[in-house]
Amino acid sequence: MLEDIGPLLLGWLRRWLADSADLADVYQDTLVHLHRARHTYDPARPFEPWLFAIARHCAADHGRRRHQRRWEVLVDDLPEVAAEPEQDRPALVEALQSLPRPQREAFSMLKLEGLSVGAAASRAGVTPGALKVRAHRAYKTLKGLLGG
Amino acid sequence: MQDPSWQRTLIDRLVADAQPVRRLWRPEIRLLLWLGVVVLGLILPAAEVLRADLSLRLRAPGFLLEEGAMVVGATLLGLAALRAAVPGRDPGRSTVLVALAALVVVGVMLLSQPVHHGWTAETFVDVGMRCLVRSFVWAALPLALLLVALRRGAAVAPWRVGAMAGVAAWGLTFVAVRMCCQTDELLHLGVFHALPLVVGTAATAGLAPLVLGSWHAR
Repeated sequence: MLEDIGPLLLGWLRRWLADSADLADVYQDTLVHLHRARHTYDPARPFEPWLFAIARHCAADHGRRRHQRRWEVLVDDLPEVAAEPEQDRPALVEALQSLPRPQREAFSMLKLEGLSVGAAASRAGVTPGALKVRAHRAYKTLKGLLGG
Repeated sequence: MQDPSWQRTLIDRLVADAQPVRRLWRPEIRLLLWLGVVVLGLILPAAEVLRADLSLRLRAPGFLLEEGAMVVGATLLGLAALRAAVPGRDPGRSTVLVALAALVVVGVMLLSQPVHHGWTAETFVDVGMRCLVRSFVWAALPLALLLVALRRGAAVAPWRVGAMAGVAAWGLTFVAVRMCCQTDELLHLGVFHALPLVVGTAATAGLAPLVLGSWHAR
């Protein structure tokens, strides 16, 4: 079902989100939320209102958080010490692979390689602010996927 | 989308995580269950302290209209809250409008109560504190049960769901407390009966995003 609704959901989200990174973010968020709210779907009722209500909620939430992020330090909650996920956290590795590449790279550089925000940003060729945003998105998604 | 592989991985992971879930019962059934438990939970303490003239008051059309309207308004808003906690489910425009009309009737009936000018501040507070304490203590059960029921859903507008749930829980409590209070006086009813309902509803709406946001993937 999640695969089948992809084009429908993307088409709907594109009407509201111009930026492709935002689109990917909200699409991903919506899939996770659909998964969490799947018990509320009533097969006797139309599917689209249920789907789009969750998508609209995720898009609005994304906009709100984006606005708030301007005033927040984003990666304060990321541990400073590098970890070795391959050895003891196969679930983390799998979850990392599910992230969009920019987010995965930002997360890996900051959390796994232990780079500073500045160093990671220059390696990725983006501003420190943009890198923090990517890392924050990655962290949030991983928390959702890993039940954190 | 930039990278279809991450979509597939995400979907595969979500599918792998999917456990069988118990679907929500229909809001109407959940409302009936809630009402059943709440009525029992309110009758038991109220029966101990019923007002002495209750049988007389229940024959007065104004009193009956006030309490009946509050029961209707609270019940309908409880139903609307349970519906609104399901994504894409409309709380029901007519349901909400009828509920609001019922609450207006309650307001009008309260405003038609006589004003007693002979209160001293001390008596006013002494008499009122009993009702105030009952309002807050007795509202705990209906409110907690309704919030638990709403948390089973996935509210996309938690504060609105919380406001409706607040009126539902505090409204039924209002009726129970009225059955036990001998004082049919405007200031007393306004301060110690209606105000807890308003404050409680506002607090419930304010706290609802915290209480009902657990389905978020944060």
